[in-house]
Amino acid sequence: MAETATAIIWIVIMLPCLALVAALLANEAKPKKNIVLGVTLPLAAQSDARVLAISRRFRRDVWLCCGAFAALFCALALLDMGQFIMWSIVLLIAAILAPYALYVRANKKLAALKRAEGWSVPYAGGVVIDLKAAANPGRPLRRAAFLPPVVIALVPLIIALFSGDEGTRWGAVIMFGAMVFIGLLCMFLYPLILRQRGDVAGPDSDRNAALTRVRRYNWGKMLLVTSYLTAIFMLGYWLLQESALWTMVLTAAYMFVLIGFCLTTEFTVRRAQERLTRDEPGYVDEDELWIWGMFYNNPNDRHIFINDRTGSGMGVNFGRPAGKVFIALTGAILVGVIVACIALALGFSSPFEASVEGGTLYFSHGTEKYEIALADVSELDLIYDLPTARRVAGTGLPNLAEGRFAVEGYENARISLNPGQPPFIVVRTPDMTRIFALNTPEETAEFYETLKEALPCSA
Amino acid sequence: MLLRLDMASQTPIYRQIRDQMVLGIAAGELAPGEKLPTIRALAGQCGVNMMTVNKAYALLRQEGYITTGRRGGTVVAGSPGFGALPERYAAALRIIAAEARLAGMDEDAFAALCREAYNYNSKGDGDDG
Repeated sequence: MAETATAIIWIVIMLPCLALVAALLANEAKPKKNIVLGVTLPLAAQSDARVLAISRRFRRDVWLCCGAFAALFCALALLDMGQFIMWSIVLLIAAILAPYALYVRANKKLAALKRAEGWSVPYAGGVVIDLKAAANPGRPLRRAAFLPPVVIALVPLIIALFSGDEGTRWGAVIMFGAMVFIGLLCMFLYPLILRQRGDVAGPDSDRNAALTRVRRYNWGKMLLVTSYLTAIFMLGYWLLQESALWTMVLTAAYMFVLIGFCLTTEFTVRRAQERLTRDEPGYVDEDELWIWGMFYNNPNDRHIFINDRTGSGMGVNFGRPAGKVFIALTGAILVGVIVACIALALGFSSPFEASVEGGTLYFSHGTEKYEIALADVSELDLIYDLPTARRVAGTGLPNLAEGRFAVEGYENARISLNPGQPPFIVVRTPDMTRIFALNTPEETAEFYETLKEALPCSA
Repeated sequence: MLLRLDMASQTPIYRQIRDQMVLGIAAGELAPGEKLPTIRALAGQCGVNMMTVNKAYALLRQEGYITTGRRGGTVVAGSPGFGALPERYAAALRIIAAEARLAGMDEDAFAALCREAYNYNSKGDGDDG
């Protein structure tokens, strides 16, 4: 029952993510700043039947791709819970990346059509700056506006760091530390937008200034709201951390509000770009600087981070060595996540193994492996009721609890067991508590006896 | 006024900035008294070193096209109004005239070309620098 509920919650979270990716990408087929699918086209060409056909087909393919991944995703739910969650993360990454192949295909087709038809605009192949708009950048947000959420986020972190329990301290560093990091990231990301080139759609400086203002204002708003929402979420999490249900509800609410807000802002910027450049005949063409209309590649531009061509996001300049390093690191992290997910998924289904050899207890389950010298064991117990446990770092599934947990009555505990399958063996040493079980209750009880006999008399 | 920089060009960036600003002033796209971006802002926008923009502004200032005040920042000064070109431009024009002669262009055609170039910027339609 719990597994079904978890699977449903997971699907409810994941399916909208797929739809959002598709919606964002499909929106690229609408002209903004005279750019359609990463190709700059004069106004007259934007209504050409062949251009419209390429756009239509791209939108259809993106949604079909999204549907196929959604079906595959639901089929994954038939797997074991642990494997389902891990494989679904791998699938989500694939579902995000796959539609970009469709984007590249459509971009190439459109670029070829543009070349064949000789569609061009006055300013092609260079970097264009509007001097008047650049001279009046508008008033930016104060950096201090980002400070309160960081301070708020620091409070529970500092309090938790004074805790006597090592598990609580580690939990605080992971959870609250991440929240402080998000606050700081927002604070340091904001000025990036102010150093970027302003939007230039045509010769009208007022319009260019408006486009730049819309982008900068919404970027600042998105970061500011993200940092405050994160601080509020973290305070709530800190106050409600003893209740698994409430922390789950709070986390879901935080994610939905945050994603909803960021998307609303992104589409606000896109709509403004659409509206402001609707009657612009096409003036500036930087297609040469964008590989597949997507990756900025300008070795002569000192910027490492650059504005996305449309919307409010930012990208990386592939032409700079630091940009290449950044992309390589991001790619490595992405591959690392996929490999880790696969390794965890395989680990979930691996058997629990324990043995006693040469006065040492050996335990292994997937990536969780340890050995304890029996001479260090201060207490050994077999319990049938698992005390209240809160996950600090690790896996918390209905059929597998593994990693560092804050367990009532035990300090500094690591557990590795199926909570629905007692009994559980408790091994205490002066430094740590280990609670584990084997594949069946009988196997666990049998191993407990073996362990008890192997212990020195003092234990 | 739109500034277009060709990063792959043989012409240095500071020269491109300077030339286009002169064209913009002559065409009336940059009016006297109009505020220009700060060196830092323009360098940030162009994605070039601040020294590059500083060099362009220094040249423009030296030629009398812009002025920099402590409070008002950098503004367009308008036409310096010397009534004559510096010798180096007269020399450059002589070379162009020589090339025109060698290309087989007669004096009237060359004068017409010069007139067209002179009036081009006063029409306010010169936009490609």
